[in-house]
Amino acid sequence: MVLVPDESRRNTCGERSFWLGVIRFLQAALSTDKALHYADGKMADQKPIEFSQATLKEYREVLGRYPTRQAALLPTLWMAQREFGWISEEVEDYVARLMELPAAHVRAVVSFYTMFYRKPMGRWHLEVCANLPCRLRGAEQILDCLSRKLGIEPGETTADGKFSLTEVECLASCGTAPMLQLNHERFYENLTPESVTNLVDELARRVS
Amino acid sequence: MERILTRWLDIPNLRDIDVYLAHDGYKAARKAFFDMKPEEIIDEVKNSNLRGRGGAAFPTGMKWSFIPKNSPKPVYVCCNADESEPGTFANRYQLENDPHGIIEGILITCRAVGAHVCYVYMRGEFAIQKQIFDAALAQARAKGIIGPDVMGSGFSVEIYTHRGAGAYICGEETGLLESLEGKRAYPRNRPPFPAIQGAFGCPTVVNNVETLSNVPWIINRGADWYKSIGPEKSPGPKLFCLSGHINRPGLYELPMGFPLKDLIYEVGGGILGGRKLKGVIPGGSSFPIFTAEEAVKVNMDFDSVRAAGSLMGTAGVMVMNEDTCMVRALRTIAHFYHHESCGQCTPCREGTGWIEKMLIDLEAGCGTMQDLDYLISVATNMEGNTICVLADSLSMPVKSFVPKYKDEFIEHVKQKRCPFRANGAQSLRAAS
Repeated sequence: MVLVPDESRRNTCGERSFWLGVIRFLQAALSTDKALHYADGKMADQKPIEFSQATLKEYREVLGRYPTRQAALLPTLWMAQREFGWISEEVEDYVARLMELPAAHVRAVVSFYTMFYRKPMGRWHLEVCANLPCRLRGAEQILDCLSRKLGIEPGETTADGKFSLTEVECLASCGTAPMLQLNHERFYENLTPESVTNLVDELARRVS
Repeated sequence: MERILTRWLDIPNLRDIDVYLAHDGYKAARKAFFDMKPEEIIDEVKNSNLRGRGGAAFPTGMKWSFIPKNSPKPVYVCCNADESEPGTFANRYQLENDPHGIIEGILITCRAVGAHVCYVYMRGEFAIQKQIFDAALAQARAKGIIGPDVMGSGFSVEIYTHRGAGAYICGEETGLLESLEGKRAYPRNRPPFPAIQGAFGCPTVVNNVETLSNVPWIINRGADWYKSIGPEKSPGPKLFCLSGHINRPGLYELPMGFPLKDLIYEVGGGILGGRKLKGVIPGGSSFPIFTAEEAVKVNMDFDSVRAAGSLMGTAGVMVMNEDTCMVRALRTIAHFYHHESCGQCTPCREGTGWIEKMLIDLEAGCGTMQDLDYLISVATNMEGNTICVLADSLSMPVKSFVPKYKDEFIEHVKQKRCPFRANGAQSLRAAS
C-alpha cells in the first residue's frame, strides 16, 4: 500500500479542497477495498483491465521462451501497452497478478524504462531526437517548429489528444539527422521545418 | 575494397533467406557444425584477432574461451542489439538489411560455446528492425536452419528477440542481462563475470551485432585472410558511422586503420558549408574529443586511437565545424548521461547531474572560472568509482573538452554569455 500520494494523485487532490483530499486519502489508506484507491481515477468508466484471448495466448507462448517467469515481464508490459494504450496502476496490478510477481517489482520496472507510458498519450506521438549529432544538424529548429505548430512544449499532449511531442535521446539515425520517430515505430529522417510541418498536417487529416 | 559487412549494397534483397543462401549463405555455419570441433572454432576466432565492436574492443575468441567446458548449467548467448551510443547506427542497418548474416554468426557462436538458446536484446525503438529480424528467424526456422535440429546436425539452437524499452544502460552487458531477466537494468558488480554467472545465473556470452556478423567470414575464409585486412592486432572490416557537420554523413565500411583525415575529407566529402574543422569525437559520445590538429594524424583502429588519447568505441564519428559552441555540445552530452544514469552509484547519479548543471550555468553566462576546475574535479572523482563505466563515459568527454577548448569556456565566463549566440544565432545550427 502506498502511504504517500504520488504525483498523479496529488494532482487530482490539488483541484479539490485540502480537507477533501485528506479525507479521501485517509479513506483510501484505511480501506481494504482496492476500488476506493481509484474512486476518482480516469479508469473508472473503462472496461475491466484484462488481456484479450489472443494476447493471453501470445503471453503463454512468450513465457515458454525463458527459464524464469519474471523474464517475460518486459514483453508482457509491451503487450499491456499495446492493449490498454498506457500503463496505469491498474494495469501494473493486473500484470503483477497475471505473472505472480510483486506489484512493487512491476512498478519499479515500468518506471525505469522511458518507453512505457505512465499517462495517456496522444494518437500521434512525435519523438524528436535532441542528441548531439541531431543537434549539429538542426534538431533544435525542428523541435521549435513542432512546438509552435502544435502549441505545446516537449513532454506535453495537445488538448484534443491528437499529438504528443517528446524530446528523446539518440535513436540510431545520426547519419540521416535530424530525425523523429512516430508512435515508437516509423523513422522520419533528414527533417526540415517544411517536412515536419507537412507531416503534422497530414497526420491531423487522418481520421484515426 | 570488397564489401563484406555491407554486401546488401551489392546484393538486392539480401534479407530474404533464398537470396542469402544463393550467396554462400549459411556455408560457414555448415562448416562449423559438420567440419569443425567447438575448440577449433574458438581457436580460429582467437587467431583472427577479432575484437568486440560494441565499444570495449575485448578479444572475442578469448571471451568465448572463458565459458566453462561441459558446464552442468545451460550456456546462453546474448546478442547485444541495444545500439544506443550517440553517433552510432551501424547495427540498425545490419538488422534491417542482413539479418541472416547475424543469425549465422549467432549459430556459430552457439556451436562454439555449447549454447542452445540465444536472446537478441534489441533496443525498444527498433520496432521495425525487430519485425524484419523476426521474419528472418521464421524463415530460418522453416528451413530447419534454427530449431531442434540445426541443419540435420542434431544440435538444437533457438533464437529469440527480446525488446528493451528505452534505457541506454541496457547496452552495458550486465545491465542487459538484468533487463533480460525482467528487472531494472542495474549493472552488476564483477566478478563474477557473465562467462561464469550471466543470464539466469548461467554461463553467458554477450556479443555485439557487428562482432557476430564478422564470425561467418572468419570461419569461411580463415583467420589469416581476416588478419590481412587492416593492422594485425585489431584487424577486420569496420563499419564507420559518420555524422554531424559533414557533407556526406552515413554508414561506411572500411578496413580498420583507415586514416580519419581521409574518412572526413574524402569519404565524407569534407566539412559542411565549406567551414573549418573544429573537433571530432571518434567513437561515440562517451570518448575524448580530438581537436582538428589531432584528428588529421589518427588512423582508425583500436590501438592507434588509444595511443592518440581517445578510444574508438563504436566508431561513431561525430564531426564539428568551427561554428559549434563546445560548451553547448558538452552540455548536450552531459544531459544524455545524466538522463541515462541508472542511479545505482552515487558518484554517477550525482556527478552527471552536477556536471550538467554547471554546464547549463556556463552556457547561460552565469558560470565562474572556478567552475572549470570543479568540472574537472567532479569528472575525476566519478572515474573508476562506480559499478559500470557510464560515469567514465561522461568523465572522458569532460576531461577532454574543457582543457582542449579552454579559451572558449573562458570566453563564456568573461562575456557572461555564449559568444556563438550573438545576434540570436543558434549555436548548434548546421552551417548550410
